[in-house]
Amino acid sequence: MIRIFKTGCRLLLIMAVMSLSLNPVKAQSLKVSARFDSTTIKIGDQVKLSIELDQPANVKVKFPLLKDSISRGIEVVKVFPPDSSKKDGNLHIRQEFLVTSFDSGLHYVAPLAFLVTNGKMKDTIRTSSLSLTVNTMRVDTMKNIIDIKAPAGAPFSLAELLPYFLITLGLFLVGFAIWFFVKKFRKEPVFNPRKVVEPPHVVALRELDALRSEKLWQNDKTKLYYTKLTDILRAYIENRYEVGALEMTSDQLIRALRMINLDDFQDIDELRNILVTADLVKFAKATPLPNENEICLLHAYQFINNTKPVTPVDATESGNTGEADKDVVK
Amino acid sequence: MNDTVNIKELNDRIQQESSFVDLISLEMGKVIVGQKHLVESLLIGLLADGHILLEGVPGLAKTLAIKTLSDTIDAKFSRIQFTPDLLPADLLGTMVYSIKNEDFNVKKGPIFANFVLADEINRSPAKVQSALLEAMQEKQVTIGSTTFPLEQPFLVLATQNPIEQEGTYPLPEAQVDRFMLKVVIDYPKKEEEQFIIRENLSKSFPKANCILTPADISRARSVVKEVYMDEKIERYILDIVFATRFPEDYNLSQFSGMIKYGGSPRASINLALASKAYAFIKRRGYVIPEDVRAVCHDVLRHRIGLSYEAEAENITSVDIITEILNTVEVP
Repeated sequence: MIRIFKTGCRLLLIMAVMSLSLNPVKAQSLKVSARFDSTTIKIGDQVKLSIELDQPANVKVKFPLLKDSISRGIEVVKVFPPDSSKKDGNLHIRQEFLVTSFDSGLHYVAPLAFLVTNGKMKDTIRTSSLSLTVNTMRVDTMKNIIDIKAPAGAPFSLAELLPYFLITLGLFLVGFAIWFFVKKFRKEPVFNPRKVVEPPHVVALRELDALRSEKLWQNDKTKLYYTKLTDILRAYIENRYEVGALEMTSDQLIRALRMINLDDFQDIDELRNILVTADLVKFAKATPLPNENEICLLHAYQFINNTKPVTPVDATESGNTGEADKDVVK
Repeated sequence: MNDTVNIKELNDRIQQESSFVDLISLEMGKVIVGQKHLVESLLIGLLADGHILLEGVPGLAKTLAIKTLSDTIDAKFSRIQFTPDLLPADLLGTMVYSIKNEDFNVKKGPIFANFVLADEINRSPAKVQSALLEAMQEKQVTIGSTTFPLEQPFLVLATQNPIEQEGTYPLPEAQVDRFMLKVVIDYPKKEEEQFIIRENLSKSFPKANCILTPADISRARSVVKEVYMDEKIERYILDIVFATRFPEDYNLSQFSGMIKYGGSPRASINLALASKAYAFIKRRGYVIPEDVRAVCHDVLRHRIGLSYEAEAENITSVDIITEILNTVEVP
């Protein structure tokens, strides 16, 4: 009894569906279709498969599930999202699939099945079958086999480099900003930090003061005393006149100074006396008298003070400036 | 100034002993016009017991200078013209059979003299050069089974010509090193050459007088060795010689690839000896950096081996020595 009832219901549903399909213009009809954009393609070409469904709003229809392929030899490349619209109370759903084939020949696509559910009744409705002809390339067997063509070079565009350039520029700007703010934070000068270079005479006078306070010759270290004294003078001359005084012998140094137009040749003579005395102490075991040691140091002070660069000082400021550079003849 | 006793005494002795230097210079000046550096170098070699290699184009009075030096000293002088067919026996001597005595007698060669002038030393093959250089080093010669000491003082002055290299036998580096000094002679000045013309055209060519004996030279040599050299000067000499070996350690890295080999320990010894002799000539009992610098080029120029890179860059050993002297700090 139940079986007779179920068979009757199914017949009624099929008749209803068939009556709807026979009259598509009418509302509340159920219609499915499938078609390729082109029925002939070259091997490897891609073609779109469109599946369309017209259904009443109260009927549930399940689309066929196409994942990798739709038949043997036809592969699905991409599945597009379905698109739906309503018209005359009917729901219209369209879904597209991008497919391709790498096998030449005529491919048959079996009808695609849609599962229809209306209340407790279920049925399957199918599209018509499709075919796709895949043509291969024509090969001229009369010609020799030739190599595969090299990939065609894509034209170079600056636009391709633009992102990399912008990223590099951005990183540089970020780095610079960090460096700049660190410098600011530490209160250091950002650009052209000036090194404070002391004038050679300031350095030399300070070192002479230090030499004097060391009391070397008073402690029988006369050789060391004269070595340091001549080193201070040579370093001063090297920095003051830009001559390689440290690599010159005493005679060469005096000759080099005579080439420079010093105002007072007496200074050179005094320097010469210091160097000669120092050479005797350093290389001939000479031991000068105490007053000679003092005189050499005094002459060294005089030489530096007389040859240091003269900077013009305003009369108004002369009272309180230049104290550091003031002549120190001790 | 209150000098310590030994230096003062030494200075006095040197003032006394070196008085002949002015006399020699005066006598040589009668014959040799100009060439002050050549005369000084000959004196350094004579006083420091070092042999000298003279290099210069023909006609620069190389031979005359040596002949004149020997004239000023009552010493035996011999000249050997080196030729490609010269044999060691021509130089050293040989055993000659005496029919009268029915025995071999020794016939000594020209090397048995106080002053030996080896003219154009690079024209003879290596075996003759070796025979001479061995005698220079050992100061003795063996003929047959007998060894004969050479005359004292014994000084070899070799000359070579920088041009006409075809058919010559350049001295190997190891043999050049035996010479204390290599003196390069240049042309005289214009005024000097004018004077040379006049001297040569005059009827009586001047001649140097003999003013010294070999004993005077031997005594002067012993005094030269006593010239005081401070530790600072020794270190300065070492710095210079080491700069030829390891230039990069002395801020001379530009010469790193240009020097194949630097000065040997013999270079250091000879630089010290020549500096002492120079100080003696200047009548000083101690060496100062000026003395080292004055002899440095002559002592080192033949002791620095140059690479192909240096030759390609036209860098000479003299350029390297000059740069070393300008870079190494003076004590």
